[in-house]
Amino acid sequence: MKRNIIKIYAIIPILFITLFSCDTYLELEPQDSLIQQEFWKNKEQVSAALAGCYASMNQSAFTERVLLWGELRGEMLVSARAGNNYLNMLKNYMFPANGFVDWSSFYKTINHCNLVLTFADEAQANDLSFSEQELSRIKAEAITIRALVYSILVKNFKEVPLVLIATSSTEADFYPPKNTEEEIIAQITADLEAAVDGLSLGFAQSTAHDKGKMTKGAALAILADIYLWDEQYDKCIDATNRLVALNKYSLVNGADWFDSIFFQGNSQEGIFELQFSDINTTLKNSFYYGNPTYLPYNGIQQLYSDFPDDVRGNLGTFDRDFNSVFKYAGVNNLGFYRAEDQFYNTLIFFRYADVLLMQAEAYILSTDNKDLDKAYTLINQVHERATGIPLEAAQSEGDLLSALLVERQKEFAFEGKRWYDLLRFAKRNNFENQYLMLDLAFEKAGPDDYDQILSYYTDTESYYLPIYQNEINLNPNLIQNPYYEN
Amino acid sequence: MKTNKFIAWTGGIVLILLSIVSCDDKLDGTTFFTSDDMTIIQTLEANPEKFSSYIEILEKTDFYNAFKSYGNYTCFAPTNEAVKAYIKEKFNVESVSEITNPEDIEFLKLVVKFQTIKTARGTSGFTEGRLADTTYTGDYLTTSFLKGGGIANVEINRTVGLEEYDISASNGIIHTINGVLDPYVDPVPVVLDKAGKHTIFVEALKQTGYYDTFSVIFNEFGSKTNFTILAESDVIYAQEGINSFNDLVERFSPNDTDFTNPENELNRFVAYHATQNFLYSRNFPDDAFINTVLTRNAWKSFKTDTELKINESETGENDTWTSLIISESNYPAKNGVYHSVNRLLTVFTPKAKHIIFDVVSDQPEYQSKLVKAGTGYPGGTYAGIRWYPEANRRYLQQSNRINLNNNVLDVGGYSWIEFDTPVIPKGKYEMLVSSNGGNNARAILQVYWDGEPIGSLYDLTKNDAKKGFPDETLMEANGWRHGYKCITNNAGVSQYDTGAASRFIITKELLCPEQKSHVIRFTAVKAGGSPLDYIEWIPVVDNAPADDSNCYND
Repeated sequence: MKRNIIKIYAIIPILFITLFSCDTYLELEPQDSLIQQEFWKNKEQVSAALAGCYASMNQSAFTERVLLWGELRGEMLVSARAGNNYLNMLKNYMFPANGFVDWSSFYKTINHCNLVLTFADEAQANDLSFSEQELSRIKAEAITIRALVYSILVKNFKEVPLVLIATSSTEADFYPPKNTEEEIIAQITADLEAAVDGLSLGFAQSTAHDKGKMTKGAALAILADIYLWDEQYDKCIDATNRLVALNKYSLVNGADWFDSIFFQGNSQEGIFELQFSDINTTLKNSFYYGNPTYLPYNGIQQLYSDFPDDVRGNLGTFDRDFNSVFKYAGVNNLGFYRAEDQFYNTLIFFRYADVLLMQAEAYILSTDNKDLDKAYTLINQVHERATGIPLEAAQSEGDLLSALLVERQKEFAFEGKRWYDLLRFAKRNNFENQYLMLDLAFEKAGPDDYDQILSYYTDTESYYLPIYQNEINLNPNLIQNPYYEN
Repeated sequence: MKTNKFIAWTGGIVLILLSIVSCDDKLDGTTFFTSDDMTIIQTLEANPEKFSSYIEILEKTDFYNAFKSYGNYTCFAPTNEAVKAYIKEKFNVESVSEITNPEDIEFLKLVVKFQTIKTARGTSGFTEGRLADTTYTGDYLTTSFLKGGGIANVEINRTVGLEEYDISASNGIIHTINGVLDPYVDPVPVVLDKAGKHTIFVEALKQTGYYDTFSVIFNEFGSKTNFTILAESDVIYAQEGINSFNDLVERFSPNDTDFTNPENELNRFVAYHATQNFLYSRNFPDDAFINTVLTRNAWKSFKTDTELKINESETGENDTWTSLIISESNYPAKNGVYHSVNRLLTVFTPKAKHIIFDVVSDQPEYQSKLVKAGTGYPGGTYAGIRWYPEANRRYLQQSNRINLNNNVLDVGGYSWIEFDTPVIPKGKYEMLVSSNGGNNARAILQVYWDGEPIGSLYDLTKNDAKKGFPDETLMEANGWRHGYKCITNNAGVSQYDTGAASRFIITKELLCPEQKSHVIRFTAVKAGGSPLDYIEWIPVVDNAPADDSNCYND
């Protein structure tokens, strides 16, 4: 019996140990990383999360799409060694299995922004040093980034799911259906109009901060761009006027055009430029002259030939001798090139010249505020800055529009704008100018494939990208875009 | 003590139970597959509302199991409605089960073979023209984008549209089609006749006897004869004031009605409209001659960045040329294809020009895929190549070969081998030849031109040092020249940098007093391997060195 008692005494402590062991020594929370409940406690953490929103755009999966979605389908680049997905995009032969239409990097950024917007309030309540004003600025920046990303998505896909709640809890809808183009644009414009007030005019730390973060100017530029896309011309004029009234941006001199805007970056003209602490791999992989993936389309050189002194021509936008994209790969007008480890370029989203030309377009097309003279002056500002010669006065509204489209092509060549310019012009009045798209087939075709490429450009629905097949497989509520149903 | 026993027992039982349960193989009775993708048959069977009729046909024709097995097929699968319409039209029956006649089942087998390609071809490989591989009936299917709207509106053989495409299965790829592809039965003239847009030209074919010549499907050697015919439609003739066959006679042969005589002008005119090469619009060479059925004559094919020019006049100003009306071209038939030209195609006399003759790729038999790389074929297989003594000959093709089109004719152990050359326009030429040479196992050859020996011995055993490689002047003095920079293998190594691929200068002064095709023969002085790549003719310009700056890559 005694021995049994001893055993019982031995069992009791063991029982105690097992019963209470789950309390601390089986701790489930990780020791080496932060979890949500412990994050979002103070200002510094929210700022760090906001930095994460910017950093998420810094990935090549994001920047590559920003650049090439805007260029490949237009008549700007030809392939030197591009992969199949890109070659297909060059002729607008798109299908849902093409991995290059995968939008996940965009939705990652959106989710980062949504996280900040969901949890910033909580942190501010916790941290006495976190002012209301700072809170609203941080939220406004997150909203502006999100609006920028949605504006890219809506221009490319027309209809995408509008996700405004962070996927941090089970409340989020994991199978969101698509929203209409109207709903998305309404959300973008409402968000931006509200955010402008909260945003800073600029940041004094450095130009990299000033150009690399969302400011009033950036929000107004995105706003003008999306108003123009949506044919709300008066609102576009208003947004651009408010941007001009900030008195913060101006065109650089023609002589400094290449050096200041593209070689140095963050010029007085820059409004929002993505900053890279390391190499800008997208621009390096695409244009490094030792091994470029893309070369300028052979019509590019002719584009500038009417004005031999155009600073944007040879050794500005392209190099005549090497037929390379000089804008990003070059160093100076002696024809020197960046080495592979010198691609510290920024990625320019908006600059002041863009704003002037957007305003010009709106003045031409607005019904209530139509002002062709103002439009001419604005176009000429950009034109004369680069060529030194005033633009010939246009005879009609149509001539002025054509001049504008050409000026945009010359000014923003390879800046990820051309396809959207063409599509915006083509789609007005129920694709009145579809010829702009059909003409691309002629530019791109060889003797054998004209009919084939023309065929890829004939259906107006084909100007919008397909939703990546994986997304369709994972989300039963997503409906493929019309042209790509198979 | 009792408690102790109780504890021991329970503990023991629990342990035993645990071990029993743990030994249970959860995967027992499961069959494992190397892939969980569905085969073509499984995919079709998963959609009976679309494919039940075609599956029935596959069962009836014994192809059902073939699509279950390992492979990499392209399966054009017609929908139920398509099958229904097709069998109604062909056999006048309502369902597949009603087809019992053995002859009809044989025809159905042909139909299935015709809807199937040996290699998987996704829509990314579709072009305006023919697909790269043949069906199991040995025919090329065509794809056309002329309706616009991209892939969704592609037409196969100009008759059938895609309903769904690029459905991948473990053993191939499926394209759903909204009609059954009708196997080619008719030769080109009959297809042309049935289309009904070329009545004057068809009448000319009949009157000259070429209607039957071009309708031959198997020639005497058992290989398939291809014809590519360029035809003027009645509309094009009308633009020239030719509104009937009699007008055509009036234009070309007003005083001679012996139309079947090869010397007759109308006969020559018609013969000039066909070639035995097999050319869809995109297969026309970038810059070369194409021999026509009219002997000693050729079409000159030249492609600019945007356009195909046939027989460009080369006068320097107001040049004219003929091109294809694409919307009325690339119409397939059992033994070839026809195209409609946009103006009158008259016999054309070209100027001397640089000609490269790839002894493999330029053979019609190669173009129609009657011969494959690595397999030996007996004499008579190629209409334009003869050799002695009789033995099987093969060609070799691999992307790592530093040869034009990456192929060579792997001949050796022969007494002689001869080739019909392309039609060479009147003029004075340098004649060069390129083979893989440079070792002692190779042959030493004497070249004969239309039966006469020409030039010094073509010594393939010479190594780089004996040729003078890479010194250009020394090589020229020794009778050799660098290969082309633009002819490379997949690793980018060029003939220029490869001593073994140097070109031998057979002669610097070859006079061709009239335009015609010649015979070039290589006779072995020392037997050995001689993997022949190409022979070329470079026009000599007024005592100046021949211009061989042109780089060929087609």
